[in-house]
Amino acid sequence: MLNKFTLVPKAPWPTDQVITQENLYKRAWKLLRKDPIALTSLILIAVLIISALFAPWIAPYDPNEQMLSKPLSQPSPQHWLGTDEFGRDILSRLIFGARISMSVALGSQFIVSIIGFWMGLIAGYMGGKIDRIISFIIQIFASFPYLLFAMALIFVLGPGLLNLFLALGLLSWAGTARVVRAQVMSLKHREFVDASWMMGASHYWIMTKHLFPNVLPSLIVLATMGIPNAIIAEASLSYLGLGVRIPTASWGQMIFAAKPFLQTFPLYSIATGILMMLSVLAFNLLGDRLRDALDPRLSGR
Amino acid sequence: MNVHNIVARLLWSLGVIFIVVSTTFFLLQILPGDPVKLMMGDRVDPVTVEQVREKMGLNKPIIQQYIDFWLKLLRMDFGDSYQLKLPVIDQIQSASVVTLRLAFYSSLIAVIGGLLFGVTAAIFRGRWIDNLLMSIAVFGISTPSFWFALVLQLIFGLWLQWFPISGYQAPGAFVLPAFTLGLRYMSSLARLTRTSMLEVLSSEYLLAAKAKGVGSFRLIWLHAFGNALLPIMTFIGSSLADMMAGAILIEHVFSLPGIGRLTFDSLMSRDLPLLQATVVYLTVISVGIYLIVDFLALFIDPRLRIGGKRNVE
Repeated sequence: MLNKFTLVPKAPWPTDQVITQENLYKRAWKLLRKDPIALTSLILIAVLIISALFAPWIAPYDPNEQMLSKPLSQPSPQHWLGTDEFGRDILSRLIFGARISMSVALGSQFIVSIIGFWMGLIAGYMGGKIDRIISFIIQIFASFPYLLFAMALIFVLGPGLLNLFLALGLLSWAGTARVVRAQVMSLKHREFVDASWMMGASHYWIMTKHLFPNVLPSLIVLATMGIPNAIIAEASLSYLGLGVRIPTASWGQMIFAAKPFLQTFPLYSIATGILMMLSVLAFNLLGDRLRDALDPRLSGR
Repeated sequence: MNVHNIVARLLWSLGVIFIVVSTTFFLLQILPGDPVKLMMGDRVDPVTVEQVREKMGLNKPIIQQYIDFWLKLLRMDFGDSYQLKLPVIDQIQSASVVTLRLAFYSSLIAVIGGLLFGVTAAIFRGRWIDNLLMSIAVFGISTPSFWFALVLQLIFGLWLQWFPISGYQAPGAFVLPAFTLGLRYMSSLARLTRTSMLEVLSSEYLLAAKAKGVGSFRLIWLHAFGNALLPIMTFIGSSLADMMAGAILIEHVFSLPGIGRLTFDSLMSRDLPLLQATVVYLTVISVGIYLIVDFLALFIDPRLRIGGKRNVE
């Protein structure tokens, strides 16, 4: 049993180029800046977020102001995309709808990242029984019919923005936890962790100061790639009447409202859908590029 | 993977089913609204309400109800639905025929399209055909399926009148629903297949096979694709499970009387026995599919059979 006493060399860092945290992000930014697709997506996302933030100043009309004298009017210089069945300005409603979409997407991914990170971290770092228990929980959440349970949760909690965050956040962290767990399991045997432990660092210190920064790139990529799903899930729930409260404008609810007028006024549905598709597309493309730049190991997800 | 592992895997699956079903049971208890009042309307005298409550066993303590529920479930007795007063099991049966057909056609589209797109893109890496196919795939995963369904209804149903836009009995009724449901999975599968294939194509054993003069068709479909198959299989399994529940929206848009529609309606009308049964059904299907995928993996990858570790992450 000589093995027990010999020092087995562990997987070394790539020796030709030391990638520190700082120059990883700098290098990623450099790659993204040169990529026209990533840049276009970034600009589109920036426009979306800015219009969501400053909706009251950007939107030409109050999104809930009903002008009953002109329902379903065609596009005109006053109403660029026309008006809906209650005579409300469609463009203004789309801009305010971006608020809901963006906040649900970002909010739920924030919750997903926090739960997924801690669950994966504790499972991967502790190992043994705790790992088995958490893995079982992960498995359960992965086997839930996700949309169904989101529907049931909203049904119980009632419609509203905060409940959407919770329903989507609490139910979709399993994938993130899996990735974090696998990464932590390979990270915890690296020399810098051993060294830190030898110098008397606590578990908490190792988790937050050593493991977190190393998992962060994957977390960023996973969150970006999760946003499209959150946008679509929010819209799906709103379409089914389980999103935000009416009359708050949301894209899914607008697509539902536009359904009876599909043939007579197709622009209503098509404009809403295309805006939604473009925002999902932008996050998907940015997610792909971010993954290639920050964490190519995640490819195929 | 030996017998011990297989038994452990089976027990694990049963455990997942048990927990999901139990969670649903308790979650349903806190659904707002009294089921008896919902069933009979608001203007029923309290005495009758109490009688019905007793008849349905709703006045027993919750733990007793929970045990009764499991005892009935093991005998495949889901009770009668509140709304239609029909045995739940019959409703599930007729609805699942529709959803299974929908899922079958959709996965056919997803698998054939996805594999063809993915392998082709990988072979022609970096050329225009790769870019074209991958652009289609990105649009495919970015299009909200329920909106796309409406657009297809407008174009092919209302304008061109090629396909019916609702119901399931007319010929071609499944074309639009299956396509809209399958598109997203097809696109994800195309992307996954491409990545997986590229990984294998750049490996040394493939170079060795090439050097030995293996023909390109054999090389791609047997040597490369065979090795890329494992992650692809896992994906197909998980998307099949996902599809069954994801059919809620598509069935809603196309007015198909499937499981998704049934689940949504029972949630909206607080039809607890029906809702509980649909959740049990969907969970068993989903867990079952994951189980089948795991066992199929044993046949595909001989390394797993001798107890070697699967190199997934």
